[in-house]
Amino acid sequence: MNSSIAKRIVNALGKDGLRPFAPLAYYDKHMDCVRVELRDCSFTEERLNEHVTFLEDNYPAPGRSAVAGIMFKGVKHLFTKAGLPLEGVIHVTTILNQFVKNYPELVEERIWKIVNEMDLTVDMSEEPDSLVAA
Amino acid sequence: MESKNVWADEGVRQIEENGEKLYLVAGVDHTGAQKVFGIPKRQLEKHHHRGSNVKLAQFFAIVVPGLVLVEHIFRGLRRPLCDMGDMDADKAKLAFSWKPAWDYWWREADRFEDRRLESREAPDGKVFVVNVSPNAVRQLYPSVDYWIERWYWARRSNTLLKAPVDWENRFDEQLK
Repeated sequence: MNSSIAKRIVNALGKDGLRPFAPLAYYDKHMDCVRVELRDCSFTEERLNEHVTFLEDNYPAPGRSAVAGIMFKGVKHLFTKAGLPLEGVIHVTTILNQFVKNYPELVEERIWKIVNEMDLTVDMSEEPDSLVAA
Repeated sequence: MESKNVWADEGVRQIEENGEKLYLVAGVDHTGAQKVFGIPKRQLEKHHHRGSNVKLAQFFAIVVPGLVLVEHIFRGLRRPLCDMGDMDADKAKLAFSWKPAWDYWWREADRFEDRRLESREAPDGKVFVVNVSPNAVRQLYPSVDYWIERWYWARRSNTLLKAPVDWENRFDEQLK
């Protein structure tokens, strides 16, 4: 069962094997959110409010924080409303700063801690994840 | 317009339509009618490229067999969401939820060994949620009723045991 799931993934995708994970941030165009993921793990999405959701590792190693990512929702919505361009490679901190400017209640230590853990960028010109708007 | 069946395997059918490789999964909607849920192969390939292997395991082992087992369906995400220029795109999004028996993970020390990607009992007090959108481009992809967009665990509600917590406030309406 356990090895077959890895086999099934690579067979279905026509790949040689699974790839190693590295912390990342990306823009999900159709859900209009930036996801920062620090681990390859099973996440529980813990909704803080309509703008921010924490990604919590369901099975963190002993001594490790459960919070393993964050999602900023309505990114395009916010930038469009503010008349700001949302293109090219953008630092996650730039996006967070824009959120804080518009929603000061987001000044929460947990959020900054995750965002500052690594200097991650988002490539807004990356090919969209799905075809809905293709 | 091209529609070509390439292969079928354990609940996933791969087709090529309008020049795109799509995975099709059987599921049901809020009326109980059978529907086809699609996801572009390149979306899954992107997860593979990122090394989001648990997410891929959850897709093949939870989402694929689970879309016929959905307990609750909600419409409208009640949060800012701009998609395809629509500033109110959250209203069309759907959330399907149920309680699968299994989840997938690996211990941190084992995460570079493919064979150590393991199944385990689903987390306590959690439900599984899949976000989907109705197919707005049926003329291009006629085989697809809904697009699968995202999947994750959420804490379960105390009022609906197979729905995510606070469903009353996070969605516009309950369809099922």
